[in-house]
Amino acid sequence: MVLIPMTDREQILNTIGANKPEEAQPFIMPTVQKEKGVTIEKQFIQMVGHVGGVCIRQHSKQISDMITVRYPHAKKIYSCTKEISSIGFNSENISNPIDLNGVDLAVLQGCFGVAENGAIWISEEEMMHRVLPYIAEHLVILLDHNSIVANMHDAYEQIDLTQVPYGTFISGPSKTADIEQTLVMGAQGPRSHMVILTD
Amino acid sequence: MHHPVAAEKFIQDTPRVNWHNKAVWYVREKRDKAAQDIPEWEQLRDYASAIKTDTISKLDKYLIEFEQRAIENGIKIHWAKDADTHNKIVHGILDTHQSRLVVKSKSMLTEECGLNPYLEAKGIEVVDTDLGERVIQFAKEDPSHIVMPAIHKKKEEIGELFYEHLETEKGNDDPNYLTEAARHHLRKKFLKADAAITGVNFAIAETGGFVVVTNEGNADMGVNLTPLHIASMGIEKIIPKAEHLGVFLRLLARSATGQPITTYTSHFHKPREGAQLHVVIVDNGRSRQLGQEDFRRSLHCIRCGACMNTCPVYRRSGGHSYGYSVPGPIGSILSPNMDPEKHASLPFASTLCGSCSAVCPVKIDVDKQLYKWRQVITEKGFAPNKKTLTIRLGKFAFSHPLTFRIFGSLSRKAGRIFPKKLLNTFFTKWTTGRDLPDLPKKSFRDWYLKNGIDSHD
Repeated sequence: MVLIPMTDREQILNTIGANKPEEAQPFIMPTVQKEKGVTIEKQFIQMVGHVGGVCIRQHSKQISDMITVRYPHAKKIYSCTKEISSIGFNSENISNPIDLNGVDLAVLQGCFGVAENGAIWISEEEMMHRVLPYIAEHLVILLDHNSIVANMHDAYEQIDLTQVPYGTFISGPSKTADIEQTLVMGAQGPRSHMVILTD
Repeated sequence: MHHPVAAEKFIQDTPRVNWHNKAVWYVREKRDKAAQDIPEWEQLRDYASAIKTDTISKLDKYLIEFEQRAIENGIKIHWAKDADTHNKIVHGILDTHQSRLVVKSKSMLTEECGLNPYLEAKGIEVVDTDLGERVIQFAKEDPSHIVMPAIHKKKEEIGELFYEHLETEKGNDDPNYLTEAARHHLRKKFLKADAAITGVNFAIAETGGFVVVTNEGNADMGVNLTPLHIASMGIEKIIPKAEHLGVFLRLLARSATGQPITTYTSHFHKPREGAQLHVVIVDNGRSRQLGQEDFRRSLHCIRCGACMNTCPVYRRSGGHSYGYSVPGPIGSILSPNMDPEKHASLPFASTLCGSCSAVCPVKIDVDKQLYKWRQVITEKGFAPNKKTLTIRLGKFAFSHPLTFRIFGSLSRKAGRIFPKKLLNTFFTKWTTGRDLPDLPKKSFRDWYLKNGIDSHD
C-alpha cells in the first residue's frame, strides 16, 4: 500500500473538521436606523478635524484657486479629478510607481465619507496608482457633500468588494504615536490631509 | 520563561514601572472614551461575538470559500500547518522572485513564527517599517505590546538608537524629529525594496479578499511600490461576509487606541497590475485550540490589545516578562496551547480581576480561561513546585478541621511572638512591597461560638 502524505491544506481542514463545535447560527445583521442630512455632515466635518485633517466646504469653481493659495510650495501636483489638473507631472509617463516619489500634493476624488470616523472610501479607480494616496507629501480629497453616510454599516452597503480590486478608507494624515505616545503627523505618508466638500 | 522571574527585572526600576503603568493606562482611558461615544457599543460586542462563534463553528467551510474566491481574484493561496512550514513557504516565494530586500508591516503571526530571523539567516534583509517595530528591530528586542511594540522604550533610548543607526543628532529625543528621521530612512527602503510582507486583520470568505489596517500607511506604501506582496494570516482571521467588517472596524481601533478608525483600512482583492499577491494561511496550533471547548473562544481575538492596556499585571510587569509573541491576558490563554510547560507560569500572571473580559470587543471570557488553564497546567504537573505544595497543604488543612484549627492557632501565636520582618521572609513574593496584616487574637470560629448564635436572635 502506498501512503500519499496529506498536504498541509488537508491536514488543517481535517483537524478543523474533527475539532469544530456544533454549528452555530449564522449571524444576521440587523438593519440599523439611518441618520441623514445636516447632522451627519456636521459630524463628518468634526471627525475629520478630530483625526488630524481639515474639512471645508467649497464651490467647485473656486477649488483650483484655493489650492494654489493653500499649497504655495507644491511644485509637483498629481490630480485625478476634473477640477484640478496635474502640474509638473505627466501622468501618462508614470509606469513605475516609484516615480511618484516626490509628489508634493495628490488630489483625489473620494467616493463617500463616513460621519462617525471621518473616513473616506477611495477605490483603485480614483487613485490611478495604488501608491499615490500614501506617497504624496500632502493629500486633498474632494467629496460630494451629499455622499456622507452615518457609520461603517452604511458604508459597506455602498461598496461591492467583488468589484473593487483595491480600495481603502482614509481617515486623516499618516500618523504615529510610537515614541512615548506623542502624536506625530506625517509618519510615512501624507503630512497633511484636507477634505473639500463640494456641492 | 518564568513570569515572576522575568518581571522581577522590570519592576526593579520603580519610576519606570510607574511610567509604564501610566502610559498604558492612558490608552485604556482613551478606549473608554471612544467606546462611550457609541451608544450601541455593547450591542456591537454581542454582534462581534456572534459572528466569531458562527465563524469558528464552520471554519473549514469558510476557509474553503475564501480560498476559492481568492484564487478567482488572482491571489495565490498557500497553506502552512506550522511556523516552520510558513517560514519555508515565504522564503520560497521570495527566493523565486530573487528578493533581497523585504519591507514588512506589523504582523504578530510572523513574530509568532519567527519569520525575521529565518529570512535573515537566508541572507534576506528584512526591514520592519512600522516605526515602533523599527525601533525594537534596532534595539534587537521583541515587541512588548501587540499594538504599540515599543511602548516600553523611553524617547531618550530611541534617540540613542537613532543616533547609532540613523545618524541623528546626539541627545535629540524630540519625537517629531525622530519620526522625521525614520520617515526619510524608511522611504529609501520602500523605494529599493523587492517585496512586501504584511499581516491580515480580516479575510472575507464571501469575497476572497482581505483587510489590513495601519495608522502610518506603511503596509500600503510597501505593497504598492513592490512587485510582490505576501500576506500571512492565521486561520482564525476569517469572517464570513463583507458586511461584518462594519461591526469589527467600529470596534477594533476604538478598543486598541481610542481612535474612531485607523488612518488606513485597506481592502485587497486583486493583485496590482504586473504584481503578484500571495496569501499564506497558517494553522500553528489554532485547529488544536478549536478542539478544546474551554479555550476555543480565544480564537475570536482580533488583536486589539485592550486586555493588555487594562491588565494590572501587564501594566506593571511589561510585555517582555511574558516571553511570548502575544503578551498580556490574551497571550496567557493562547500560549499554553502552544507549549503548556514552557508557558506554565502565564495563566498565573493574573489577579483574575476580569477587567480583560470586560473590555474585550469580541467578548472572550479571558479571566475564566486563565483560571481553567491553571487547572490544566497543575494537572499536567507543570505548575511551579511552590504553588503545588502550597495548594496541597491548603487542601489538607481545609479538609481536616482539627489540623486547620491547630495551624490557625499556631500562626496567630507566631504572629504575636515573632517580629513581622522575620515572618515576611516566609512569604517573600507576597510581601515584596507590602506587609503582612496584623493577625487577629482569636479565630472566627472562636468568636462565632461565643457571639454568633446569640447575636442571631
